Amino acid sequence: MKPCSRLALLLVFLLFLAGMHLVSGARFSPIHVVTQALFDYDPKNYQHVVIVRQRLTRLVVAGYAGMVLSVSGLLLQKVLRNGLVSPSTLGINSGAITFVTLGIYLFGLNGAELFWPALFGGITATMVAFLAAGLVNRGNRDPLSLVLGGAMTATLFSAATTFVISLDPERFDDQMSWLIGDIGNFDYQPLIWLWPVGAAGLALALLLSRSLDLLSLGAEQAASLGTDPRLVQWASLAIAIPMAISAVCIVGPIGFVGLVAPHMTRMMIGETGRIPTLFCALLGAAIVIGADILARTLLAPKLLNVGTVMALCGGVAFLALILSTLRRRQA
Amino acid sequence: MRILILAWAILLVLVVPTFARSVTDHEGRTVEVPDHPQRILSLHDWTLTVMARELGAPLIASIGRPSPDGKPFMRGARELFGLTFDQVELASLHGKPDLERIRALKPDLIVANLGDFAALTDQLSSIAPTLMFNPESGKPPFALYREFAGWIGKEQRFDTLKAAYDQRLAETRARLGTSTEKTYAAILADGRDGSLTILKDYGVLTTVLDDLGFHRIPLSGTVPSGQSRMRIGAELVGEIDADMIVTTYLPENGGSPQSIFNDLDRIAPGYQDFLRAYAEKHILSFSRYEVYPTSFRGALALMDALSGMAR
Amino acid sequence: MRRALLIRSGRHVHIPIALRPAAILLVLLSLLIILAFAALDLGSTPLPAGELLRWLAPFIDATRETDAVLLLRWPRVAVAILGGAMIAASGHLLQIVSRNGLADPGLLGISQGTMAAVVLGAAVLGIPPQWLAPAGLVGGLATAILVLSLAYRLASTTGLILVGLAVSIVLGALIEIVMVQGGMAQFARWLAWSHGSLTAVSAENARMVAIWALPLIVLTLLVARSATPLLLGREQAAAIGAAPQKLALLLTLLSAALVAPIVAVVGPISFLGLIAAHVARKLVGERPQEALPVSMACGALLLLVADTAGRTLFLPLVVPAGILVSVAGVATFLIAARFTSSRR
Repeated sequence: MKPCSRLALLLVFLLFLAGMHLVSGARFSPIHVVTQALFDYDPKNYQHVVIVRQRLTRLVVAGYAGMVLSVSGLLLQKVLRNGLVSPSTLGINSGAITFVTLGIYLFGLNGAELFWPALFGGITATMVAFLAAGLVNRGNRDPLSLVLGGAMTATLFSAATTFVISLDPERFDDQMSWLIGDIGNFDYQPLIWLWPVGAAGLALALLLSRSLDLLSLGAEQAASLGTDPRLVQWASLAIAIPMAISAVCIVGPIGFVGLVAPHMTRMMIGETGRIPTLFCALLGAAIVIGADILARTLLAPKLLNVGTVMALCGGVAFLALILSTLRRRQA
Repeated sequence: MRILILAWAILLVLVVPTFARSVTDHEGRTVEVPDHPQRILSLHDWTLTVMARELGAPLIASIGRPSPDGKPFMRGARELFGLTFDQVELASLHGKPDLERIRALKPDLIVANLGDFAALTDQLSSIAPTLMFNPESGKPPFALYREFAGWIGKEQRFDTLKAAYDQRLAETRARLGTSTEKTYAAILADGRDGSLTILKDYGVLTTVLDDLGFHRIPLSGTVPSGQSRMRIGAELVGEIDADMIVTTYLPENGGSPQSIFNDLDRIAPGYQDFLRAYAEKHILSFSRYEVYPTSFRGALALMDALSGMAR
Repeated sequence: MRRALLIRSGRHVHIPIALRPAAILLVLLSLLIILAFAALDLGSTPLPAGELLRWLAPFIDATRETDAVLLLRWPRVAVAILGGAMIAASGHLLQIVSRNGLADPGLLGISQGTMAAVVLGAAVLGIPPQWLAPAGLVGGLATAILVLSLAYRLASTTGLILVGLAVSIVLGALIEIVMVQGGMAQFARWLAWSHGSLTAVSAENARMVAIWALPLIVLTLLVARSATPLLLGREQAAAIGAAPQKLALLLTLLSAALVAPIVAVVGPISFLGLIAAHVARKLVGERPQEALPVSMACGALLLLVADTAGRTLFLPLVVPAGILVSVAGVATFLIAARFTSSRR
């Protein structure tokens, strides 16, 4: 029962954070105004507009992005048996950004239409990262190789993005915050079209979790227990990549939550069964919501980009993660 | 023989003065430049090309940017003067300078902006006298314009244009009457992520409004010094409440004068009830590269629009 | 057995030269010379080969026109060759130290450190533009030293690379906070600084790179032989009497020193170290004293070809070398993948 109670605890924490999110902003709103806005909405009262149309929408988007990215990260880490991979470290984010930039520049695409070039870019980037890693060590799987391949891929695609942007930077003025990764007030609009991707992904991830646990015993054991290892591997990738892309399309390259959330999940409740997947989803949501609160309040009234805040906190967390893992391995 | 010497003397008289001037540019270098340059090459379109064009300087080439169909254009110069690459040569594409192409155009003066070309000063100087212009130094746009006019020997033309501008300013002030006691907010509304950008200095747009005697909103005073803009959340839409709100749009991205209303509607639903400027129909949107680049033409067009509002 | 040529001089000096690596190196170097000549000859301005020969020949003066055109070309060609060799050497050394063929000098955090120094220096400290390149060099080296000292206690190169990655990310976020202040035009300018292009290479830069390059390349070639034990792994290396810890530190420092001036002048070029070392190993095998020089020649060739293609093929568009190298890299992967799968 212990994991279940921890899950419940996390849920309470998430609700608390959500409350914090609605209360805080450039100016703090009293709690009674928030409840009033939620249950007795008055479109003539700008306080209410702020809370419902600007904070609540951000909250939903932040929660969705965090959830989807962290589950995607968890799937990738489990299926590749590699604690260092995530949508951002595999270069999926940068690939998606490059193709979206091209889509905007060449075809003037907008909103949910950008999902398709982004998906294509994400798949391309993953393939490049895998190719690079496969080139140097076939057979033995060094967890580092994929990360290095991913880092290189990310550099390649960000160079390409820079190339496109630098031709006419003024034209991309409006896209800047998205290129860095940010949550907007009405990002919920593309979300209306894209949420089924995340929902289906989460459901399939829950279905797959048993097969993935079996797979972690080794391909042979898994096969003897009635799981087709290749099918599970491909299915996981086919779920993880579109899931991550659906978030990148909306909020841009918000990294690290996909890397850090699965690790924290593992530390807190282990990784077998379905509960960790749910836990990871909620934890990811909590992390991005927290980052969004910081982005809006740290330098208020000035607005920071959520992607920047996330990279700053996530980078430090990643560093701590590495130092502690390696020290433990040494001991 | 005598006629040869005479010809030589005339040639000397003609040639020597053209190399008689030294100019200190914004990088702090002192450069010998021709008194009346005949072949100016500009390496930034919506600052240097626009100004050189308005001053009637002999501009032979400018940097351009590729539009999605592959044809290059000059941002700002296209919007303001309809300048195309049939009239001047393409010097290079923005951010991707081809030094040999620049050299092949045989300029006798290169003007470049410091931010993009600081690392290329030496190479450009080996091609022709090069002056580095820094539009981001925080000096007022027209003061920078004056300096630039001096560099290329067009002060007189600048003074004529400036006088016409000042006269027009006085007229517009008179026409607007008491309304110059009012406040304005210069903003950009980000249609994608729902943020607002407060503009402290935005080229001609803010310069003209300040010159007309409009007052800024208090929030623009909180923009950190050394920066010209600040991104804020739409929660603060009440803070940009002013008698007049000015903004710009970019036609290439599907923008139009109406875009600001759609954007505000998405960013801050119900803004109509919270912004005085909306009720008074004083939300004005301009094509960005007509009012952002430093040019008197843009300034006059802006004053036309404002006079129209007064009626 | 390898076929080898033994050079004897007196009684005690025997220098065995393996024939195959020597022959390959010779071929690569002659290719490099031909391509360098071609690179000097190609460009927007047509230049007769005879003129170029006159310019190259000592004691004969070329026309001023030729001088002026080549002043725009030779620094790029020189830096492409030296820089390519240095990036390849740096990557190869790091790969030996980490025993991972994907290690790239960019991972030491040098490029982010360089950029942080440039961006923060310009925007926060107000350093004038002409001092930004040296400031970047200092920043890059300082970051490399920070990463090394953070990772040194961990005594593992996996740790080194991961720490480098993490430090890069934190620096990247700091840079972003500054970069977004000035709107997109500024942002794109900072971005462009961070991605490999040889457009801005001046004669002054070329001289600086040459001054750095000569001692470092000589040193690299000298230590190449002593790096061999590291290929065996830490324990074995220690068992045969090498001091792996110290050697690894020395080689990592050397790798950082090799790449820092290039990053300051050109910006990071991803995939170059990977491809060059990979091709070199395929050609001559693992032994550093043979693979390193071949790897350097490959790196020089690749960067030279990428830069020359970028500034001549797509005019008026000038494509940065960094992008073309990456494209070449991906193509290499695809070819390599096809070969391995057909062999199976």
